[in-house]
Amino acid sequence: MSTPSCTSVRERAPDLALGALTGPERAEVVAHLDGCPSCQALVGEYASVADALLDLVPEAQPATELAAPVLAAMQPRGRSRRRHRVAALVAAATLALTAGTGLTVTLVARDGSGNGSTATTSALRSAPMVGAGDVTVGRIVSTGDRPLKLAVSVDYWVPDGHYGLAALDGNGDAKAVGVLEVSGGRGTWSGRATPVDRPVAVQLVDQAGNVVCRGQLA
Amino acid sequence: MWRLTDEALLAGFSVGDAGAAETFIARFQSRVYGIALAITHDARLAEDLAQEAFLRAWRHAETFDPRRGSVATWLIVITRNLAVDAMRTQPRSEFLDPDELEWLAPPARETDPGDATVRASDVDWLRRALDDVPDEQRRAVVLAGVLGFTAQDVAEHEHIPLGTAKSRIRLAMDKLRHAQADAEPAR
Repeated sequence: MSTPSCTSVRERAPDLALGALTGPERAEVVAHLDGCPSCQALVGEYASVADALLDLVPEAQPATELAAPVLAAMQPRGRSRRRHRVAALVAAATLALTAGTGLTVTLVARDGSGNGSTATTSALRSAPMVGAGDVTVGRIVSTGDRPLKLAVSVDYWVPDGHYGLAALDGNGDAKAVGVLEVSGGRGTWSGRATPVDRPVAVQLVDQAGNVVCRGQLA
Repeated sequence: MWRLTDEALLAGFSVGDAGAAETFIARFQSRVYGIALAITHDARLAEDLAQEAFLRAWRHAETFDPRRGSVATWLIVITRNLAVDAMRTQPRSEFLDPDELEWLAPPARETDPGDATVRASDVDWLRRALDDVPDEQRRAVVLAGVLGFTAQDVAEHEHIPLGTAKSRIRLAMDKLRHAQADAEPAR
């Protein structure tokens, strides 16, 4: 695939921002953007206009709340829909986050009918991601599935950049599970902890191999 | 009141946490449903599409890239694309005509300076700018930017050559980009 010129990319920048390019055209333009900050900036301006166009559309309330059917559809097929109040407490603990991180909230989990206060039952675990000086810089949430699914969220103190995510087993052996990018002070990653069956901790590791923060799951 | 960031909520939603899911959906459902309804004009279909949009967000949360925009924008684009795909099975005549979208109407240019309660919306600049764009360009950019038409779709819908459709979209986008830059200090 040849790399198009800046002139060609600038002509197509509005279409790119609107999502109006065909797949091959889009791939060509995006390849150019990777190495051209000035074209990136221009596309960013058009993208801002494109976002604003969607902001024009008025909000509307559906006749029924969408949470119940969506939550029902999220249940794995064939699995019992058992729900436990204990899990609700775990979920609440998961998301009753510390003020210092800016990750903040108390959530009330409900069952599919919208009337109760229970949550899904997977062995949900949660822990703060803690950096130097015991600063909480984010959160990690894991499910009880096999292989374990993890969601890591960082939004405080960690400098922008790419970080390796390593899962540690009970023996302290670390295995890479993914890469988390922090941009604008924030980053999220979710995926399976495939190499480690039962991770007891997850670490964010910088390019130099330093552990930036750690979440203790067990 | 403590409040999770959109990104953190999405992370919780992605691993199937019920509380995070419910809060995420409550936070965005009126925008998601609003987009689906605006494109389809069918309440039942819009609800189905909104549900599907949330399920796609749950399944594909790892595709969210904060460099490319906010969680809200990512979710809205998922919804718009679903709605546009759904409408592709419909005759072209079923699509809304951009000239009939009341919410594109420009705000009043003059407001009573004595009325302190009148506050400009964040997108008033855009409504005004669209009002200043020639009709054929406004139609093209709304079809592409709101209703998700490709340039080829715009050409077919407007019965014009593809090159003309692309020109109209680009000219309109360029005017809106400049209008946004001009409005920036005032916002």
